[in-house]
Amino acid sequence: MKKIKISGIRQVTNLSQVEVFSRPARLANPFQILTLLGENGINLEFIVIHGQTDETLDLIFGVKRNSIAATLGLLRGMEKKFGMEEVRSQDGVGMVSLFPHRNQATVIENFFTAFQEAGIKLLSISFSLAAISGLIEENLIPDAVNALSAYFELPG
Amino acid sequence: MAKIKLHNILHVSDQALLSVRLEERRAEFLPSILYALREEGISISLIIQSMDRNGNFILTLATPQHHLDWVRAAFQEGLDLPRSTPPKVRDNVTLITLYGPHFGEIPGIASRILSALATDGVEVLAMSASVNSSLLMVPQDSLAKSLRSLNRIFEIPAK
Repeated sequence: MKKIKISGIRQVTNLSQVEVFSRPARLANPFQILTLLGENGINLEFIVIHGQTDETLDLIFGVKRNSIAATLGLLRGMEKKFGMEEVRSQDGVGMVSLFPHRNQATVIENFFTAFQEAGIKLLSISFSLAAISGLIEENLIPDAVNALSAYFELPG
Repeated sequence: MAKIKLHNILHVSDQALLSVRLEERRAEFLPSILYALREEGISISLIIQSMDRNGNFILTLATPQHHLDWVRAAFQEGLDLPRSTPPKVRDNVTLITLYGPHFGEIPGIASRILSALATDGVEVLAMSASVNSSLLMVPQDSLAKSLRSLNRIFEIPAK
C-alpha cells in the first residue's frame, strides 16, 4: 500500500474533553457558553458543534487540563440559563492532528481506518482547512501515531 | 473591539449536510463507506464526529449537493440503517472557512464568530474549529449576511 505524504502529525496532551448536550426546545445558542469561557480566558484547543440536522445540539470541546476545574465551575449552575441539558467531562484526553497536503477523501478514509485497526476509539473528530484532528485517550497517543504512520508518510 | 486578523475567509456553496447517528459497533463500516465515496470521486468538505450521551456515534459531513442521493444511499445501505431512521439531511448549505493565523492563541474567537452570526440571525448548522481554522456550515441563503457579520469582526488579510 502506498503511503500518503503529509506535512506532519501534531500531538497535544494534558487535555480534558467537555461535552454539552442540549435539546432544541431549550436550546441556547452555544455562543453564550463559548463567550463565558472566552471572557474568562479559557482557550479551547478543539471545538465541534453538531447543529439542527439532528434532534439535539451537541457542543464538544477540548481544554487544557489545568483549565477544566475553572471551565466546569463556570458552566455549573448555568445549565438552565444556557439551555444545557447535561454537561460531561473526561480527563486524560489527548489530541492527534494530521496535516495532509490537501484534505482528499483518501486522507479521511485512512484516518478512520488507522484508528479502527489499532482499536483506538475516537472520542470526537474535528476538521479544519489544514488538519484533521481526533480526541482520544491520552495514553493511546503513541499507538495512534504508530497506526497513522502505517498509512501516512512524514517528511524526511 | 479590535478586529482579529485573518489570512482569509473562503466559502463553498451548493453543499448538503448529512448527519447520522449510529451504534458504536456500526462505526467499523465507516472506512468502507468512505472508500466507496473516494472511488466515486465524491469529495467531503467537512466531517465531524462525536459521541452522544448514550455512547452512540454522531457523524456529520458535508458533500456537494449533486452527490447527496449517492452519499445518502451509501450511508443508509453501508450502515444497514433502518428505513425508519434515515440520515438527516439539510439541503443547500454553504461551508465558510476562516483561516488563521491566531486561533490557538486568542481565547474567545469562536464565541465572537457565533455571537456575530447570532446577532444577524444566521443559523449555524455545524461548526468545527481546531489548530488554525474554523469551519462553519450555514444555510446558503444566509451567505451574504454571514460574510457581512464576519467582516465586522475579522480583518483580511493578516499582515
